[in-house]
Amino acid sequence: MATVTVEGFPVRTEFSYDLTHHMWVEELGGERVRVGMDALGLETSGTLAHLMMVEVGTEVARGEPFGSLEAEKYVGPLVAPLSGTVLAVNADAVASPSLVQSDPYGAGWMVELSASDLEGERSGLVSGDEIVTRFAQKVTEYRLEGVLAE
Amino acid sequence: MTVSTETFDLRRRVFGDVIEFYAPGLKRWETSEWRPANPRRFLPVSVTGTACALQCDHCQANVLKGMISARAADDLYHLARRLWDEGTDGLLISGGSTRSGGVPLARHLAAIARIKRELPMRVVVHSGVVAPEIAEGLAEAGVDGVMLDIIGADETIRDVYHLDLTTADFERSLACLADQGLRIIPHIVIGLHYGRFLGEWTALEMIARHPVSTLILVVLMPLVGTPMAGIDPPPADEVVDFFALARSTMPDTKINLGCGRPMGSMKQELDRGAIDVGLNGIAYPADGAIAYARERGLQPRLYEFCCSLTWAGEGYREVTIR
Repeated sequence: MATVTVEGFPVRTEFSYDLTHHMWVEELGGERVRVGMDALGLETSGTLAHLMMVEVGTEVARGEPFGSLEAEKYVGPLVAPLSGTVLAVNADAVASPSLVQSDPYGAGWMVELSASDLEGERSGLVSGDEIVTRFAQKVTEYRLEGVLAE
Repeated sequence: MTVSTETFDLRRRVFGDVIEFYAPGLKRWETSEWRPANPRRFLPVSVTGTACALQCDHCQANVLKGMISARAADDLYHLARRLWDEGTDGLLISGGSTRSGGVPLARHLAAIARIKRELPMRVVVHSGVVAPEIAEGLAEAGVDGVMLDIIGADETIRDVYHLDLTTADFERSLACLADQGLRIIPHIVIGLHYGRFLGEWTALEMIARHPVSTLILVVLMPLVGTPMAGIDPPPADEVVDFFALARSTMPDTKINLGCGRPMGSMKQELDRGAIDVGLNGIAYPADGAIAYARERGLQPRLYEFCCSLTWAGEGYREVTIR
């Protein structure tokens, strides 16, 4: 398990990322994956106030919502990085969204899925050697846009 | 909760059946009812970066963190130029406060005037407590509107804002802006005194004495990392009652529910209440609020700009629900 700091943000290098929607994916074995929000997504969202998730058993498609988030600077959908069936929802995070902020890559996970096309969709995620570079690019982009304070 | 048929009917008589919803680019936002086409159409700029000398108990500079920084005077025009080129056509020029309760705008007035002269952008500013010479400068610069919080209790000014001022200083600010013929967009932060009502009624009376363009009502959002972090905002029913009072006190003035308000279920209650008691518009409506307005017989209009720009609707593209 390796966590590196990129432009001030922690990043778990063994996870894969949808950097557009700031979701991380941890492969748990077989088709089972765990999904959460990365530290950059949390920083640009501000303080989380309210989380809603779909129910266990719901089919979600990659790029479609599996829940919604209300935060200080972001209100909108939580977008699935992979297609699949929801196997578990982190009830602790729903009850206490601050958990997502305090431990985004651990206890603050959001849902677990049985991925329906892990092999096919994995290539759409950022992983391995690309993570640090692409994450740093995203931080720079956000600073230029004013999404992050310079 | 009071569902005021009386004030709802009043707003229909005075303003017709249109209700306006706003989604400026102050934060990333979408609901199942509305996804803004250009989230960067109206953006906030801080002339102090993330710095604020006031460090009030409510915010402690937290709200500045999401703004674009333009600290040097020369930067503001060039920043506006770049944003215009990238599709932004309106700016909120804001910033941290000085120890005297105002945003330090003086050294930016020339840049603001140049923006208004050379770029077809809407520019509204947060002035805070304003001196006559700043009001005059803002008028000469041609800003489209001036926003400021009006506080109606000396205790709140002293305890929450830590300012050695009184309500008279806030009323003088309204008068200064009115003397210059500026569009005044006062805000009342409901529950600002640590979550309870104190000076809201007086603030409303103060505002009603001046020719304001639009009154914006917002509700205390206790922010993490501030002394108000653990405080509850006032109950939704009491807040909605205040909405109704504002509506009846200022029947001819547009009154909007602004972007600052608690989230989750309370936001749902506040937005429905705002519609029920006849406010004119809502910024960042809760999911379902647009449908509810239709149920109440109102015709929603959607704008991707600040809810302070109520007179500018014709100059902006109305968007349609997808």
